[in-house]
Amino acid sequence: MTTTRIIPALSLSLLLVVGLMVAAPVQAAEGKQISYEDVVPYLTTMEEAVEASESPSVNVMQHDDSLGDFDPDELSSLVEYVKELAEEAEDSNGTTIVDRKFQMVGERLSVCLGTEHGQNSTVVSTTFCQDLENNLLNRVLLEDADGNELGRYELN
Amino acid sequence: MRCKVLNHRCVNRFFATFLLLLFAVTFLSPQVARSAPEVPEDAEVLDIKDALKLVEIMENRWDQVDGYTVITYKQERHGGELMNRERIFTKFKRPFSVYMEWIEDAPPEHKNPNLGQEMIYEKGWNNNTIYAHLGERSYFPNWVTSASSWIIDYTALEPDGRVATMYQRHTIDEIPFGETIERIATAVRGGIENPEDDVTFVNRGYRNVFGSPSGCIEGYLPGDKREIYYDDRVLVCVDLQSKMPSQIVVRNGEGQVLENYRMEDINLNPGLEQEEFRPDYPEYNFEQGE
Repeated sequence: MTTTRIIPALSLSLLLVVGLMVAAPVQAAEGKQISYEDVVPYLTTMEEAVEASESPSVNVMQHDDSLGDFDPDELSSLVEYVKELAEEAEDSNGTTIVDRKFQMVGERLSVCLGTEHGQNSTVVSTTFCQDLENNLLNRVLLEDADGNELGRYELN
Repeated sequence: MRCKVLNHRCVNRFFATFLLLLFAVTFLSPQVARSAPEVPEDAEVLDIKDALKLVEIMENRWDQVDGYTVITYKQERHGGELMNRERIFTKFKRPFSVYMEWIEDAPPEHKNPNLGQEMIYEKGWNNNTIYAHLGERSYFPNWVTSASSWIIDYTALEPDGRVATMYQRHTIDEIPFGETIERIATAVRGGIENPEDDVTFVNRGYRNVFGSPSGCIEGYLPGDKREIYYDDRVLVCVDLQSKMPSQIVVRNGEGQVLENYRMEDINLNPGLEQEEFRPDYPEYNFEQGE
């Protein structure tokens, strides 16, 4: 192979490497999905915390009656609702659990997850957060396909 | 003289110039302080004050801990090579008593290189030395391990001596969770106090670490300021239940894993007794190992 062929070949390889390096972060940017099995200890911790607590009051900021059969004023009822949402991912029927990462709920550092459901569901996207300090469910956010808030509940 | 035709001599001249430039950049440029590694563009940055909240939660919990048991999965890089994973059961009791046993690892591909090894270290006991017996040494033939017991007194090892620190990135003084938390706290508070260090904490979100539901952050740190930041990149996961670190991954500036510690079955305040930190405790095997 002559030098005139080596140089373009090297340039092409270099371009390919640079291209791959630029493309890689784009791929990583997609939301991290989490298996139902990995989320079970998160849900258990939250459930145990609410059982041990003296029923803290929930601030119902938004609630649509078309939502499922749960009592938005009762934290234990909200926890059950969130568990049911997550359990839908267990059967792989189009529901996925996603990482919503650390978020501040008021002054409280919280670890948040969420669910994504099929477009024909009433609730298409959810976010729920667990207070890192006391493990209580301190935020639930429910959205429809257009991004409208159907429900927003936070601990006072 | 410029190359008008791409011939052999011209290519040689090009490479010679390139090598000269490389040499000049590498050896002649002034030595400047190393900055923190570049944070990936898509990374979600966590406010450093939120990272401090995470530290404070760990510190508050640690203050209420009298003792604990944990299984640690430890993997470290030594001499450029990532060593086999070790699985270690640890008991810790305040003020400073430690018992460790290298135990069977579940997947067969992970061979615990020190299987069966036990050690006890308590400040103020055994002349402040480590009381140990060796297990199997997968990297030494058995006869070497046995013969070494004739030369080395494994029941009185200096904690920072050569034998106790061989293939270790940390001494036994650094075992308790409290030490790890203090190191993380130093890095976070250091980043707040020294904004010029350009410390960034990335929000790594949720992770299930051996059954511990955990929230993780990763520090991008100026690794040359080791007394404050320890190394270039440090991932810290905090167990939601115990509030103790459930995983620590340390990387160098090139992204190579230097240390990876994962915890399983963190059990705080299990009511450990002082006799559990003596070699004649019935559940231990020191007598057979001596």
